[in-house]
Amino acid sequence: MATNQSGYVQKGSKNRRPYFVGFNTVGQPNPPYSLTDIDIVKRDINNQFATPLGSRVMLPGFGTNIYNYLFDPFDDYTKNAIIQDATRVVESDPRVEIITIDVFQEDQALTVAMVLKFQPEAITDSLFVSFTLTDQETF
Amino acid sequence: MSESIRQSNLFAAEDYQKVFKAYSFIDYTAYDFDTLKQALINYIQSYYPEDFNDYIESSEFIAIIELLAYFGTSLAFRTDLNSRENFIDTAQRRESIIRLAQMVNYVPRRNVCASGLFKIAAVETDQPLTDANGVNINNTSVYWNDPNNADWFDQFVQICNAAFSTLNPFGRPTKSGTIGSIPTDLYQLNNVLNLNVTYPTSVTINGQVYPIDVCNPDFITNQTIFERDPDPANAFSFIYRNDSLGVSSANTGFFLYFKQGNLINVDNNFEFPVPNRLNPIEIQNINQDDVYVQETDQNGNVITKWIKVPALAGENIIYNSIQFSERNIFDVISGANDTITVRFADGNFGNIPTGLFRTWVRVSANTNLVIRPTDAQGLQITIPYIGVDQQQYNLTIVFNLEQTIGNAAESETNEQIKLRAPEVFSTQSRMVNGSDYNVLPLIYGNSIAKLQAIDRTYSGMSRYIDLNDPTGFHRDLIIF
Repeated sequence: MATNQSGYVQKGSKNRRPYFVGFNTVGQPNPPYSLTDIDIVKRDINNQFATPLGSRVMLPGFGTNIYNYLFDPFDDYTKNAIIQDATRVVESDPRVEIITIDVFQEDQALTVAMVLKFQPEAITDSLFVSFTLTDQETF
Repeated sequence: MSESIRQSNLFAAEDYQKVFKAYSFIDYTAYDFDTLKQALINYIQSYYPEDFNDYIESSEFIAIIELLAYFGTSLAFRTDLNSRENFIDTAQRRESIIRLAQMVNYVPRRNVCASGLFKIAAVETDQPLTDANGVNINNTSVYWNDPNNADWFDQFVQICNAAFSTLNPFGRPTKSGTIGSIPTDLYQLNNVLNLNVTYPTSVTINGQVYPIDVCNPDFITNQTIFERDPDPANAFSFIYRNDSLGVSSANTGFFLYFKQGNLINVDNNFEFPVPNRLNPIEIQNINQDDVYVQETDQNGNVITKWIKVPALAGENIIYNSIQFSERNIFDVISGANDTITVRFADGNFGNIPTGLFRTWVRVSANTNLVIRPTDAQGLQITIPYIGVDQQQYNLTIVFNLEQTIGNAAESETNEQIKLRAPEVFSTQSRMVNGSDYNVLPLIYGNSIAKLQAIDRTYSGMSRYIDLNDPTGFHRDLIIF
């Protein structure tokens, strides 16, 4: 059985072509820039989480507004709002289903922890996305 | 692979076929963001299905495609805009429309200012003066046609004569002629020179204040009254008109010539001779007629008055109706918002300017201004003059508007220029057929509100009589 970049075990991947083939340069200074299957799906979800809502040209609904909650008191209202927005972002990708989603605060960051089912092979894997002020400032 | 490269090198001339075939699948109809993005995605889907299939908005590659689409959209927009601005039918920018009109020798008209005559209602001087009866009239307002003053005419003329040059007392004008079938005279004042070129005042119309320049007038008999080139060393003049309908007539009395607007001057020092020099004057709402260029000395004294090429279709700095011997000429090119550029000659068709130059322009309201007599009553200016005793005195003049002035016009709109320029070009600057008569006068811009020319040569001729030519140019047709 083959092991991909994220370390999960890919069923029957030995002789098949990947379902999803994409392009990525994040953390990839040199070619190849190709990512496949779960890795590209995770990368795409991360791309959207890395984009503040309203900042993309011609696509004002793309991205997340979780950055706006970084300085808000971490109460139930904020937590629900973050989960709601994270759910919206993940559901915009038809290749995944949400099994569980939660958000917690640590130090100066908010972390959204998700367990997702990746289609079409119905592989379950976790995804953690952290939001810090530094992340926002990079945009 | 090596074989392929070798063959490509050998048959390089045929490689265009591959390139051409590849391009044949490109969607050239895509110009905007959405269609360009879709075309790029279609291209990737067609040619690289196994290398990429992550067609979701959050994909990094899609973001790059969108960047390309944005770039393509921007290029397409610029290309389209430039193309549109090169044709007079589709041009939108004022600068483009004016340039395209100039290409067919059409001269877009700027605004025309309201101009006319104020009738002097009262005069007053601080010079010690007595009338024929020995009555002291200094510091006394003497009104024209004053029913309460039997000696008003004598006193009025005494005050005017005190301010006039001794060479032209009332009755001996410096110039006489006829304007609009009314005898018209010009009287020169002995005013203090190098002080004013115009005397500013203002009128209020519908709550809006409009500046007025009382100008130094001159006239050409049987033609029109006009403003002299602004020169501080020029003596100021009054106009006297008498239509023989009595002193109460609106056309009898002393008059001042006025133009709506402010006269402004701009000084330039042309150190080096430059052929076809362009001197932009970035002042807005410069009117059509009042642009004057003068060569001056260090003290601002006028050395030479340069002559403006008439702003008519077909005339420019090289080809114009000014005598060839007149070398000091300039042309005025209109810009956006009624700014102008003064263009000088190239040295062959006129002199190249060097030295100090002063350009006078008048900024007017750029509106169809109508000034009614009720808008301009009791206006006043004071003109310092040198009396016969060589002392300086002040002549205070109160004046009114007697007749409604409606000769102002807005500058030509973009749509008007786009319509008129090709039409006027079709006339080739002459009036031959019916269309020419209905089109060519439009070169005078919005001064003409409506134009309809009818051929009346055959008016009154019955169609049932023998054929003949009412102009007498052709022999009558004899029918047997």
